[in-house]
Amino acid sequence: MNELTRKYNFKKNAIFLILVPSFIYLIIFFIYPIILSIKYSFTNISLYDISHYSFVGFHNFENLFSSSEFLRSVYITIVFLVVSAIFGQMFMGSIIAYLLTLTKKYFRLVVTTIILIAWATPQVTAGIMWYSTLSYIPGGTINYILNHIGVASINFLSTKFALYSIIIANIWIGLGFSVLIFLGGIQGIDPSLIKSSYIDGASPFRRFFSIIFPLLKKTIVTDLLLITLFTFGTFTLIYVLTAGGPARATNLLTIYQYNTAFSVFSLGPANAIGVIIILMALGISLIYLKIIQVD
Amino acid sequence: MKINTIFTYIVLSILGVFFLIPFIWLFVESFSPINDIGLTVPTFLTLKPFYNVLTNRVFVNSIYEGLLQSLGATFLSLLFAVGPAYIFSRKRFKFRMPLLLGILFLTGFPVFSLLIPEYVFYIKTTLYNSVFGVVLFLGVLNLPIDIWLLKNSFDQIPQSIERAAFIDGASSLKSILYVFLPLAFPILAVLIILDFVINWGNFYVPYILLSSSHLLPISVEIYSFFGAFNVHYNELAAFSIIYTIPAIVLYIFSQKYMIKALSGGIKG
Repeated sequence: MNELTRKYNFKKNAIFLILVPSFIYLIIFFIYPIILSIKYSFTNISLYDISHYSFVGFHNFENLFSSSEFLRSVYITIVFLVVSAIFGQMFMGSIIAYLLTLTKKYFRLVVTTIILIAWATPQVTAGIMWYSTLSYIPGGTINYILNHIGVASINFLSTKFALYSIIIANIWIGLGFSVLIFLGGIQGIDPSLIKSSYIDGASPFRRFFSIIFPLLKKTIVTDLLLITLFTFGTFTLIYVLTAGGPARATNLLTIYQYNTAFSVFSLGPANAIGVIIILMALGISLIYLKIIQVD
Repeated sequence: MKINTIFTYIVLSILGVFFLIPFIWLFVESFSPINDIGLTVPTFLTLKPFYNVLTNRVFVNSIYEGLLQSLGATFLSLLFAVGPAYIFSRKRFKFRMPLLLGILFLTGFPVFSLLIPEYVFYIKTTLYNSVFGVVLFLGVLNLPIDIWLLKNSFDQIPQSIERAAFIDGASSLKSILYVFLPLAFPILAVLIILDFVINWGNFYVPYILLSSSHLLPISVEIYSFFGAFNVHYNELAAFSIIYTIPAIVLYIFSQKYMIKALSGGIKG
């Protein structure tokens, strides 16, 4: 009898064996590198010799936090994140999605599709396209237009303007995602709430900020969480467009990490930067999730 | 009211035009007989850049490598995602919640920072500079989001349908194969496209994990071409268009279904 129930239990639980290969795959190729990253961040491992290294404690982290280059990179990343993701994509995305809901069906379809084509463009292509668009000598598309309306050429990829340029390029490629999410969110709002605001005589501006925006709280947090993580991981677009330059003006943490590993060959500090990126992303995610829970 | 409406149309039209500006150079240059990173209006249009790209053996090989690596990784992700997604959706067990949260955590993980430890790991295990290694890593990167999105769509397939098959005498496996999978086919199709487009667009994984030039996929090849000395910009533009069109076309075709799948995933 006991034998039989055990046999039955085994058969019943055998289906859970399906989980095993997938989790082994995840553990070897995803979890293990996370552990390696943490381990190497405490060592002086170098690309010259990856087999011999010694543990150096928090040395890499101390060095990073006393390096002005690293602190500047953190600052650039935060500016990039706040302006490009929070203001440019989330905030503008929600307004554009709202404006789109006010327009006729075909107009909306055309504009949405154009914005989404930008989102679907592979980042390498986007980097090349923006490079040619912003080019100074010879004049790219924007300078071509500026010259034709009688304005002198501007060097958009100079030390002074490069950060703004990568922010605009990143808004261009990322906006589609937020617009999509907000279009879904606004369509999910009870139409009677919006209608009653018409009766109360609220202006469109007021209607958006006092009624629609607060009702979208969950959409906003979801969107913020995802685009923050996307923006945090931005590498390809900026690497192709500016490679972190000129004079490190667009040296995001990801690019700084890449150069530390493959130009300076210091894998220990590079992994320390990686751990810091992971911790920052984790911290931001937890803050957002906390906001959702408060509701 | 009327002024507001006109204002809305004007703002959105300007936005639409602004979003098209970066494409101007790409199209003009790809049909242009001259090489220029800046914008120059060509005196006549030609298909020569496309012809040159499609007859260049290095470029054609990189398209093949791109397809091979993207499709291989897509296959791996889905192969390993279907089983766990089914179990997370249909079974209740002790560690379900922690495991699901773990999957969700990996979904949003800043993956780029793993490339460097992965690189060391690959060199030590001789997976470095092998297509198989790239496919394995690209595949694992999409695995968490695939499990998550599949699980949420499976939740929407009523369990009563499988029960009915059971009662009719189908075995557990049969009910999955003949009843459940056909119903899950649309979401699988969406994920095939989504994964393919993500892998096709991925640059840094093959860029860091491969070194032999005959293994480089199209994304890396275009970048090397862009950075090379004395670039034929019209060929670069034509090559970029060939690279970009599949991503955009696939995306637009599946847009409606993808929004559904993604918004379902977010709700979960």
